[in-house]
Amino acid sequence: MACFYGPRLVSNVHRKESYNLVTIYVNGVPLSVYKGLPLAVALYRNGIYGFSRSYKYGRLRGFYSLDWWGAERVGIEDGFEENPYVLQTREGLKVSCEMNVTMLNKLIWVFRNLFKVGFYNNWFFRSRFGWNLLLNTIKKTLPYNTPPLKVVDIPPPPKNISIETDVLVVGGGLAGLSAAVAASKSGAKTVLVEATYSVGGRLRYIDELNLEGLGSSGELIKNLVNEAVNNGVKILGETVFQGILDDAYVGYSLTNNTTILFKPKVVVVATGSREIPAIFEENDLPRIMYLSAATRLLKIYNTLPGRKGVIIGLNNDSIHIAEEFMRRGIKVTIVDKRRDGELRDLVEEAAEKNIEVITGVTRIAAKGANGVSSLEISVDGGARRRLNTFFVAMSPYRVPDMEVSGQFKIASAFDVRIGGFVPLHAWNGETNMDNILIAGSAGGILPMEVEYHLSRAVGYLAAHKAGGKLDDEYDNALNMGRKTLESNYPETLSALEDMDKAFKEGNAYSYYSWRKPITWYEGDPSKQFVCYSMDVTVADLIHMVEDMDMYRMELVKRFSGLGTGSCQGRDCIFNAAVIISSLSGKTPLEVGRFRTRYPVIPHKLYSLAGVEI
Amino acid sequence: MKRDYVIVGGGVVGLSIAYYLLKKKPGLKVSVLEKNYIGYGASTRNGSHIRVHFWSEENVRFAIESRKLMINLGKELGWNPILYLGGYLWLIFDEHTLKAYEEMNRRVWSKYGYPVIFLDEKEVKQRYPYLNISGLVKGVLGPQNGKIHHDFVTFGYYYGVKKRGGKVFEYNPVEELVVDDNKIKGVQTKNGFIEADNVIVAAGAWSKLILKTAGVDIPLTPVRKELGVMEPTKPFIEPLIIDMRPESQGLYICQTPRGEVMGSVDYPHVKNEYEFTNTMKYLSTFARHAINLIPALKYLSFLRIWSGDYNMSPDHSHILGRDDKWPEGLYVATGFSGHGFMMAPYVGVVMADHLIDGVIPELMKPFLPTRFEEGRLIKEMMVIG
Repeated sequence: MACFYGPRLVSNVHRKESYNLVTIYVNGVPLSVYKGLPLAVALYRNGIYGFSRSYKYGRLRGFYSLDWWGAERVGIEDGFEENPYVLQTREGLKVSCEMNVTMLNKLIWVFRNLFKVGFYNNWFFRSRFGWNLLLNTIKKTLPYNTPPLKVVDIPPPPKNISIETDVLVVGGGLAGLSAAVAASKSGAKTVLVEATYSVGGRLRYIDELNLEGLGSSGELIKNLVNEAVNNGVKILGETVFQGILDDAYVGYSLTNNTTILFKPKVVVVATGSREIPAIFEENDLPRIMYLSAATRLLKIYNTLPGRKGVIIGLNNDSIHIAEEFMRRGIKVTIVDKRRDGELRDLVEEAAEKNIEVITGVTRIAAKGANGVSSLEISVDGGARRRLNTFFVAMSPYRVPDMEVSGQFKIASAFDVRIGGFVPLHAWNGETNMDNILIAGSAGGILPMEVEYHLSRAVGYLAAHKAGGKLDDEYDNALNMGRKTLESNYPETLSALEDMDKAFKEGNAYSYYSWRKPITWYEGDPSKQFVCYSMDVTVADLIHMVEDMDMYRMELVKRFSGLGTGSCQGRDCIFNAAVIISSLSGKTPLEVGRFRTRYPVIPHKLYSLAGVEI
Repeated sequence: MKRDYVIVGGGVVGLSIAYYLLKKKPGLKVSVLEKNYIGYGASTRNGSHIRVHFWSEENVRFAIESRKLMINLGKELGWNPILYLGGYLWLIFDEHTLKAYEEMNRRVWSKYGYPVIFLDEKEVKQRYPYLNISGLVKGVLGPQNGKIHHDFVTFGYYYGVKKRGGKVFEYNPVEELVVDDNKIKGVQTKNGFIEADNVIVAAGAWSKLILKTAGVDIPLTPVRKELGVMEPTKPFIEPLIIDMRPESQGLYICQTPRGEVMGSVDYPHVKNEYEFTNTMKYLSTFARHAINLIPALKYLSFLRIWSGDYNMSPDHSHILGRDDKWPEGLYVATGFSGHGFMMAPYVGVVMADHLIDGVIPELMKPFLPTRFEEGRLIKEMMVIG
């Protein structure tokens, strides 16, 4: 099992490349690449930007996030598919990629308006003849492989591992580490699971941020890891916490496919936050990716995303990263939908740092054949202007990761000030489930300093709930968090207070102030993808709201397939909710979110077969 | 405003009844009350299959009528039911069971024009090369059965009801059936009282709780069943495959036209029926048996799992109509024991006939709630999963 202890994990935060060259074969063509890179990165380094076909229109797709929930798949030697973000390069690896789209796919794209969601309900496809024709076409054009069908003897699957602990912390970012340190300091036996190969979360690549009273962000993480290790926190890397079932708290080790059954007294959910896509014309072209993916390419995999780029979304992160990009010789422009007035501080900050910023952008359209080559933008509905670019990094908004907390019967609230859908919880992380606490941005986007203090409080409380005494530091940590909010972040403070009140009174709680979603730009709605996995476009949402009179997310999901693809709603649910809200006039909370289902990451049958319970 | 018919439960059965009521007599005032979103219960949680091969003649005849309606549902509702007749394949590993199947085929299935095909081991291997079936006695293929998109059937009826002037209220849980002087007066919901002449309880697993408020007790036990889909692949599993080995614990596996492999097992489960949660027990049991039957599944991963209820009646068959001892105007359509989705269209038709004309259609007669007292139980043994 992947069980590392801190220092090895964070030695210099970046992963050390092994500098061993290996040969992989892509569609039979040999490529020399570094060993142990995610395949998607190895392909990017070799100029292969699109490697997969999309589900419905057969569009050429590259990666947009470097996480396992991306919809793209590549075939590997024995004929089945692997996730190119989890699959690592090794000597002799043979993969098959889709680098061309078929004529049929091109044709479908040209006539895409005929294939709006639910098109198979029209009279022709409803007929016996039409339906059989379509069914055969669907079967042929599905962009998946068939698993090797030979009947073979299978070696016995790996047995599960059981781990007993007082406090289980899910997520090794700033919040998770702070909570784990606090819990272990109070004497609780603490285990921390981290899904990626190293702890630090976002601060792995935003490591030079100066946090008020806490020093630089990179230093803070290093200190926390050292403290965690010294206090005996057990850190499991590359291990995903899958969720809570009736009879098990389940973990899954990505390195060797072992299922882990935890027996914790208290669970602290500190899964953090993630970016969501901006919705604009052809936002699915290869080389359009999350800002975090571009940053990771550069800072962790030492790969230039391109010499020239556009960042969509002006915020602290994007300014910080644009600076880093410029230092590495990448020319970047930041565009944002909001106007100067709303963003004055940020615009000034960017100007100080010589970063080009265009605000008030109302329309964006990406152009390019096999990857984005330019963005056509217009400011305030004015004349169209062309920005040549090699890559686009999207960071229009951050939302809490609810993949774990969404599985439980924790009511969700909606507050656009702290990231849209959030699990309803109290100041100190308490939820309506006795043994589950929420820490950090997993419960609503928080500034980093605040995250640090409040998560410590959650850690102390977790140790207390697991049977220890409540540390004196608990009140102090809560107060520090509140004080920082009061002086610097009044908007977040009022959001948290509203939520705390709603939690205590047991109310459904909603705060939505946008006139138009800030992630949604003008353009041809049939070219704006909301869901990359199932190819759901804004035109489909318009069709559902206006023609079908459908606005509840549970129904939208079942009609369109939104959220049933490989990302299971991670990337689409916020955008879909706010777009449907602005189309239908209902609030995003009325639109709602569909229930998140177990598991967090697809769980191999082979691994589950070894579980004895 | 007084309603002619109030239907408790906005699942596929409730909506189908509402639809055929309105179709038979346009202008009726029909309301459907749903405690959550449309199809929250078993309607959106089932395996979305239809079959005609049941163990009892009554169910076979009922299912045949329902299948006829299902297949033409596209024309009727304007919603494509995404029909795919891939068949059901029972893998039989002992002579005794095979004899029973042969007997059923001769006596019932062939009689109504839906014979099954018996395949020997070689033929099964030829048709389905991915199956690991050493020791197979016979495979029984019912090619007339298949899959249909459950959500689209539910939606089809939902929009059909709305188009014909019926009212559907979501998020409107019924708290109580109001009875006065042994006559139904209406229903008390969370959002107020609705007056009605007739109330039809089609609330799936919740029917028992709701009927209790009117002092009616029918023998139902909701049993939780878990189901999961795996990551999509190119379709390769054509029929729904049922492994009849006792050690496989009622394993069944199928694949949707979209490529997701899906399946479940029957295992001793934890009892908290109304909570739709899942267990590791299901995941590991299913994984073990599924890989044993189709080794290729080793490569696949669970993408999403969920659970729903089989609302079991004592004889594993549905309960339709009313008992004369009940308050006047109270009807049920419940106890489908896992077959609600496939029976729903014809349930709507017979219930509409029954409610409007006051007659009991012939095929509905065996399913009256009085059968438990009178000892006329239906011998239904084919419950899958």
